[in-house]
Amino acid sequence: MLLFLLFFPAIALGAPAISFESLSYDFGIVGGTDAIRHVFDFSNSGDTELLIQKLSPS
Amino acid sequence: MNVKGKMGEVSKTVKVYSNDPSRPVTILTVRAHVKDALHMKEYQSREIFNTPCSGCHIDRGRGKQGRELFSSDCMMCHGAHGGAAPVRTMKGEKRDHLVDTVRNGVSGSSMPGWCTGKGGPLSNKEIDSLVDFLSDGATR
Repeated sequence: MLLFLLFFPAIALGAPAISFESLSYDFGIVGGTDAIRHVFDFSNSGDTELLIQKLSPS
Repeated sequence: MNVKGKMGEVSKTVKVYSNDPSRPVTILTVRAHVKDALHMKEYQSREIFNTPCSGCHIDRGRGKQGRELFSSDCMMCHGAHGGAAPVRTMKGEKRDHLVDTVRNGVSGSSMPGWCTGKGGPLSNKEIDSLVDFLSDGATR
């Protein structure tokens, strides 16, 4: 039981689970405008609160 | 994603850090192929013979022959990122076909006829020099 709790804490104790509808988006051919935007939708399919801790752009 | 001043393939990633123990980092990617405003418009291919297009597509090849002419006038479309038939494909074509293609263009494609008789800038001698280069000297 201890091993189970150590290796599968999310299953054993409940955890958030981040789930994105897609991980990439291709705008195709665009002109040289200032900015192009896309929204990545995500949800929490886990059973505890999901926290976005940091965003790190390339 | 800011694409101002950029050209060609552009991509950006964002790492999303969360308290999901099974997926603490998710990498999101966006990409685009950026064209400048001039090339976003729909042009008839023959317009490259006229200003302002000729400044890039034609003028640099004036007075040149063979390899130099090909590099100046043809590589823009037939180079690695141009989208037209690459040199290695053209090298396999018969000479008569190459001459006819350069002189008269390819119907239904963006390849215009380049001979003066078709409104293009090249003499038959210049076209022959291009085909000589493709037939003998081109290595890519």
